[in-house]
Amino acid sequence: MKQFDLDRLSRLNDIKENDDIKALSHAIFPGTHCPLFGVAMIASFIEDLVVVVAGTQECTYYAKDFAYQRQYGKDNFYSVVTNKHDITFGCEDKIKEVIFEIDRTINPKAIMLVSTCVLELIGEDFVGLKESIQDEVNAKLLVVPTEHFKCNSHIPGMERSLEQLVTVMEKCDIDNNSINILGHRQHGIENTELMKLLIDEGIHINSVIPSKTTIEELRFAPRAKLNIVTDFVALPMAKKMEDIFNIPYVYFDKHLSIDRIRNSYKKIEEFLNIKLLSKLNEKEAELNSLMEEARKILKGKTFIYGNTPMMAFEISSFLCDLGMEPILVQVRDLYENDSIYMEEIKRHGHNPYISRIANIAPMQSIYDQCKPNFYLGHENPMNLAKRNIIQITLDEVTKKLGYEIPIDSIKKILLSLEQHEEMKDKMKKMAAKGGMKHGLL
Amino acid sequence: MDFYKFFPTPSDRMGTIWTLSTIKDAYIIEFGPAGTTHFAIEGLMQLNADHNANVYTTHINETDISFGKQDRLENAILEIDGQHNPKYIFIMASSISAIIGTDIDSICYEMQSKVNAKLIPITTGGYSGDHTLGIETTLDMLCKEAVKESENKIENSYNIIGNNADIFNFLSDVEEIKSLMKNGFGFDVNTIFTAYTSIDEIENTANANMNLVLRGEGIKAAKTLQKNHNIEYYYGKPYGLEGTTKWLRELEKVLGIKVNESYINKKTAQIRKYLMTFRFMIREVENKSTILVGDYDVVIGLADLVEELGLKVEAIIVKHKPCKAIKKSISEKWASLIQFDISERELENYLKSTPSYLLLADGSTLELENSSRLSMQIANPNFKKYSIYPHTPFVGYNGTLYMIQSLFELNKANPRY
Repeated sequence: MKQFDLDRLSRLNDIKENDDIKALSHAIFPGTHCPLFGVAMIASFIEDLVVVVAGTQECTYYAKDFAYQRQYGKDNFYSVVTNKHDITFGCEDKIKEVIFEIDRTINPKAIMLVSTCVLELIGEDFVGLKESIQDEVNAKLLVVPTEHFKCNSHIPGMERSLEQLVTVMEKCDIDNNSINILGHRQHGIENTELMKLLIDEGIHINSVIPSKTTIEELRFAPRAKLNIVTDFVALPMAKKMEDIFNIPYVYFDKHLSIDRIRNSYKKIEEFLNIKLLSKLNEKEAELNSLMEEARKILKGKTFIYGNTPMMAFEISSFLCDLGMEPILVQVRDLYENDSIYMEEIKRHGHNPYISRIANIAPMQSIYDQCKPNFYLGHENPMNLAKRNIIQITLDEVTKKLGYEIPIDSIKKILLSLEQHEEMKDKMKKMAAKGGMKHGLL
Repeated sequence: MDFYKFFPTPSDRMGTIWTLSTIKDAYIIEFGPAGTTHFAIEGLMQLNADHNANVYTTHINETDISFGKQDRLENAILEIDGQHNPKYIFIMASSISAIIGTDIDSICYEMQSKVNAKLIPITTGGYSGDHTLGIETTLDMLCKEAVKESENKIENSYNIIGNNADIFNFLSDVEEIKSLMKNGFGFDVNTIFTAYTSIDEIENTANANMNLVLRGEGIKAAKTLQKNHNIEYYYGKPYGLEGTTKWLRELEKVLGIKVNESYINKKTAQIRKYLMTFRFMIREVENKSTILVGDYDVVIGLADLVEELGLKVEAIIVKHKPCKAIKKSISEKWASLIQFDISERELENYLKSTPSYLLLADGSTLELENSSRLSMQIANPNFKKYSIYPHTPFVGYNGTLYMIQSLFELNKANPRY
């Protein structure tokens, strides 16, 4: 059988909808995470939220493990395990009993009830269940379905759990000098370029959702004058808050292009009636100068995109701005603004292959076929070094917002290029001694 | 009620994946949502085990479910067979495909003529029992489907059945078993089911002279090997000084070879003085009761060691259902103290209301409220322990020394009477 063939993939020009994105192989390794994982990523941050995962032993076991590790044992994840009888006759009574017990014994402010694949498949009505008992419990009940057979990743779980948090919010008097940060999953938002500027202007953070908030604080989230969405997974939440509480939002993700960052700052200026851009002239100049320098070095260099904290098409478009040429871009799905970035890549005259993410099994053969100069994302460095491919990981920028993202990204790319030969030698020596187990230096 | 603050008892499917995941060159295709497979692969990290097999997912969507489509699986089978030319491909149902009635047996039957690999259907969908059932069935399946007739019997060799990734101290325990067999009889290990092994080693299982079964779930597989390949087996796991010597003596009978007496004498002399010192140390402890919680063969074995140390076994709580073979083998000595598969709440209530000197338990039980003075992890699930050094066994002579050392340290850290 022929090794994995790029021609089974669609090219960028042919991508119109999600179904146009194909996987490189039928047998996938390791595959994407499921929406339950997405829920765990969001809900485990909120320490006074009790999460009840209902499903198979596998779903509940692994979700608990992840939540425990992430919150160092301070998580509030509980499990209701369904058995054969529940699959046949339903498990409504069982779930109700658990909710009543948690409400009585723990007395939490909110309980997030998470249904998983099997229960969604058999049509267990969790929303109906919630409505039937909400008046009988003190805790606010939130329901998040996480069936993985309707989607391709963990993202819907993150979106839905954030959106559900809106149900615990209450109408408040607006504090004109406060903002909410939505979707941010790192600590230290105060240290970002964006927040430093806002703090200088007398703006303070009302709530950082989900990474620094509680159910009690969420009640007062609508006090903010503006929601700043720093990750696209919080867009449904922001829209819901706009609908219900009339709070506007600005989408200020980990953007890379000067125009997008400038526009985002401009919108914040307008909503909050403050001046920010005038303080960013130096940063803009630094970015412009760095981009010029990078173009001279990176022009014509090819890349395969694997993963970074940024949006796949957005960063690919930015790399095209730097003169680089995409061969293959791996993506989860098509998201709200992707059409904009895809058009930008096309305008550069590129038509890369597009494949599903989280399938590293066929990549070894693809590297040999494509021979890219760069690979962006996590991969065993040895696999790349032996093929003379420069690896770029951009995890560092996860904690940044504003011009610091493209500035740091370019610096990292140039540094990786500069250190490549040295890194390659290290890898070769390591390989000669038996290599690495998990691809970590 | 099936309600847990920590972990539920793992399912048969989880047991199957854990058993297969440590086999090099094993190819496994799961027909189900990708997240299930991804979680399972990462779950092995909690067990401190290396993921040596090649596990793939097909993913599955609404159309596949609504129309009973299985072309994803068929294509994946053809692809793996064509790309990797494996000897076997294990085809697994997921909970979803099991519920919608995907007939994995028929798919394998239909596809078998189109591929070179032997297709082995695994139909445990997660609803037939706990992980021990999956481990028992998988060990037996490997012996039935992959073990070949021996063309080259290896003198003085044995297999180990039941050293699997789910056992908390599998990495060190197997080294001690190897050491006992080498020092006691000059025997070398042939194949270890299944942490760690390879498909080739499993095929060559019948080259060994005997099978050592370390857990009840391995007895079925051992009987299959006895029936199909005429290999005798011995079931038991050596704990404590007396228990280890007894284990070696019984193996003497099975093997028909005299054990190395000087080895036994040397280790006995080495351990005895520390046993005495430990007993002396706890002489004034009023409540010497010990509660053991974990996997059957581990807690039963450690209960003997606990007694040898001069402590009193208060309760033995097994965190899974007993397999058929286990049910028959529970000794009278422990029958009144042992409980199987009690709920997390019952367990917590019991631990809270029962003051004890020592709690030997799994990682999640140790998180429950309890009234034990000292505690030590001896089983999975695991939250905090990292295990890469393979010489801290619980079994055998060195395991006895290691346990005494650990308990000395614990006692010193909690100097209260």
